[in-house]
Amino acid sequence: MGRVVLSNLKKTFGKVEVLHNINLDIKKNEFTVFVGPSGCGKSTLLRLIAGLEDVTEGTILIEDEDVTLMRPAKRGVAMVFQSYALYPHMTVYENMSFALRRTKYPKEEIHRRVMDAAEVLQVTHLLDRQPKQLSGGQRQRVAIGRAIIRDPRVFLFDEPLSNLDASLRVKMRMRIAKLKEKLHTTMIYVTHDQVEAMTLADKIVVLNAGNIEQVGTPLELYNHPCNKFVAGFIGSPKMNFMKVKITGLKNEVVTLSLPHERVMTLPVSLPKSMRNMGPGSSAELGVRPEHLVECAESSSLFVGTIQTIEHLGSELYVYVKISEDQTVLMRASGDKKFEVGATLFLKALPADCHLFHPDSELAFDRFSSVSGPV
Amino acid sequence: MQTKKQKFILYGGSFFVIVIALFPFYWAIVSSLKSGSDLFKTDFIPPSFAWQNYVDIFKEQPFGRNILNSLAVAFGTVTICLTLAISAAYALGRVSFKGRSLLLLTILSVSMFPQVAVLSGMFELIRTLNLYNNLFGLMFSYMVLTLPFTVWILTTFMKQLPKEIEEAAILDGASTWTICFKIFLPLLWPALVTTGLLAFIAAWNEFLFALTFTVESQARTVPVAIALMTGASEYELPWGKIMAASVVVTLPLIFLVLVFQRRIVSGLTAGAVKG
Repeated sequence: MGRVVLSNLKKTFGKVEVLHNINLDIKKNEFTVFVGPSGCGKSTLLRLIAGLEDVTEGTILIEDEDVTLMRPAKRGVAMVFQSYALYPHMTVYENMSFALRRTKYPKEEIHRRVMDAAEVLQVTHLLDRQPKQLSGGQRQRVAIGRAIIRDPRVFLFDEPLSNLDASLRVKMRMRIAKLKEKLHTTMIYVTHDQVEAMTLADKIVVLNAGNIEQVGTPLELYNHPCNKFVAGFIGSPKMNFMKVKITGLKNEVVTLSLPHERVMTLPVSLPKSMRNMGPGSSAELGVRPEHLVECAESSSLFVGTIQTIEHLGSELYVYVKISEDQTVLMRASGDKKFEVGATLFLKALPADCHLFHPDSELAFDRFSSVSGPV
Repeated sequence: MQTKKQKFILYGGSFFVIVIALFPFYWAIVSSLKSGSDLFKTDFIPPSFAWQNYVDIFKEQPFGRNILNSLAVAFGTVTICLTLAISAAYALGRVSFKGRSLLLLTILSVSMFPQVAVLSGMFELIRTLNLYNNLFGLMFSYMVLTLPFTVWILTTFMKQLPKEIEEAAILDGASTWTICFKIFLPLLWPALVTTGLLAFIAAWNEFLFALTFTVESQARTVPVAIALMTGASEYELPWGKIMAASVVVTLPLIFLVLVFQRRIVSGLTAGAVKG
């Protein structure tokens, strides 16, 4: 429902600034995921929006209304906590109706809303139980129900699946995805799990050390990471990074020298800040494990010996040592046969290669993008 | 597997502790059922069950009234004390403000003052407030005695309650009052029962203040009443009656502990978070 706009948001705890100048526009009905390593400030950002922490500087708008100094309950936000945070002495029904009972809603309306939410989340048969009689998944559903019932302008999820075991997590992820279709509300979801981010999000916000690194759709982030951090964070297993030398830069085509005297050309456009890059500078080449393929020696870009093979059933992770100090990971389908110690020739399409500035770690724009540029 | 020796030590030790703990009470019961010169014999079972002592204590002085006084004072103290302590513990345990730990330390140190040290000051205070020889005076002074440790204990429990529950309640639009008394209070039941019981026992047993702040036998509480019991002459201590009275006033305490024992259950917060 509500659009959320954060402008110049800063948060300090004591003398430590944990969020630096956050600017973000979350559109109406968008499912936005804040993702990042632990300690990046993603939960703090969510808590600022919820009103559980005071904003140090900057403003928060919800539906064009300045809520920066507003009490949490007045903001029209509902939050689902990682630890569920159900009221242990109340039944499921009481838990879900608690917020509405604070207001002047008529009883019948409250009852109708509880029943509706309970049906959506399939907890109708649990309404008389207490939280301690529920399983983890059921508790989380009740916690979500408690949020739904208030019909909030913005839903906030703080790592809601982290306490569940792996199989249940997948189930709940699907449930949340369904819920998103059904409710049509602005949702902000915090997680450190990039799979959750990729599968659920309309828009992903990658945070690192209190800064927004990149904002985009899951595929944009996967295909066009704007810097090395995002490239490494999105995608599993992690992208391979290799140190390379730039030997030529002409007509927006860069020539790279790779280990074992191999050469590669990539079409790029240099941002202004990188115009001083020339032959002789070093750079970092990034290739995702799934984009490395086995090939004939003549067309290969990398050559190396197989160090380790991990069998995952449906797929294989093959670690290949391509130079003295660099090992890359290749992902291959599970029916392929490899042998440790064997020599392997690898290549990747130029469109699947990413080039990063060695110092700023920013990505070079590529022309041959699969989908449009960011 | 426990060896026979270990079992012997375990059960023997337990038996020893139980005997040490319960024998005085047993002796009180036995003595209360004796009369006359039987009191000075060492029979473990009274030769004749003389209930007369129990009848006499209610006849010769307003002992029933004293018991009612004690109940009123103890329950009054517990009620006021817990209400104040919960509010204080919420502030001390959940709200961060400057000087919080200093305040907590002050409260702790106040609870260590010897009673005699505050007696004269308290006496003046009670007189000024016009509460002398009045049950409210006793409640007031007992509150001063019991508040520090109840606040201290409840603050510890309050701190342990999960933060998310409070935050969920804040988002649900609950006021501080609602959070404190509708969300936290039910979660604090075990702590409240424990501290309430301690406060009750403290108020029930208190002697010094009760002796100093009352003058008429109508206003006395049980400990004072028992201590001031006299026999036929000034030089006779009516042991049988004193023992009977002791047994009578111990019963409410035992009853309370047995009733609330069921409420002191752990895991009341189970299901709130994780689990």
